[in-house]
Amino acid sequence: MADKKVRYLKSIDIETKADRYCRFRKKGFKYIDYKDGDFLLMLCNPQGKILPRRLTGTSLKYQRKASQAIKKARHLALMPYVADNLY
Amino acid sequence: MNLGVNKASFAHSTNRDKVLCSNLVVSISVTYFCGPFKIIIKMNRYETVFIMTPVLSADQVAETVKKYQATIASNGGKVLHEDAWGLRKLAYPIQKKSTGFYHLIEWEAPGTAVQPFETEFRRDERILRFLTTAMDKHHIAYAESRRDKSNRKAEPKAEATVEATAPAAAEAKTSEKGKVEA
Repeated sequence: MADKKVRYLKSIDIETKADRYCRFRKKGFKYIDYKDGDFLLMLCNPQGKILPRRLTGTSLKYQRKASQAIKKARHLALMPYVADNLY
Repeated sequence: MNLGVNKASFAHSTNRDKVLCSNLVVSISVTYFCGPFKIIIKMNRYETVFIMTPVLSADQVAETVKKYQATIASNGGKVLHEDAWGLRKLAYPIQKKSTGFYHLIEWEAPGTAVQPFETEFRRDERILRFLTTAMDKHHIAYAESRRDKSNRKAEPKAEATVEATAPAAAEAKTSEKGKVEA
């Protein structure tokens, strides 16, 4: 049975995910502004929920800051708590 | 009074300790080689954004803002920067209002000043929302760089378009009033 195992000389060319990176770390952001609602929309889904970092690629340090910023922006009505179609 | 211990404890103080110190208002540090006592009041930077009801007239808005500037001053603080965002649409209705006058104040004060400042907001019916944040060094750097940028942009334009902007501003004011009446 062992002979029948398929072996590849090279790993098969399956579609792999594009490289994820933390946009804040890459651009050298130190502070995420809660007053900039339009920018924070990039980290939300159309319902206004905060996207998980497994989707955005944000590092943990900046995800924490971003989520705090979004929550502050919601409090000040710069962003909605719930929405239907943000974009 | 054991000044050495006091100084040491202040150096290792956590945030909570700082608040305690500022409750006493005076923390004493001794200058080197037995110089005179220096009295240091620990100042923190804060940023406050508040939303006023759209019902107010332009004068009333200015009056409200002036009131909070006075509150800061009376609590031993100083206003460093101000920014009126004007009438903006809210992302969701607050107190059945869909617009509001946004105003940002950047200020500096001992930690004890924050609580009386915020109680003023809570008592005021003209205020829909407010948010005070303590600024860390990154926040301060960001705010200052942003200000520099806007200044640099404004300078060359200001010379050329002073005349052009003046009637535009007047128009904006009248349109705001129109909205208020509506």
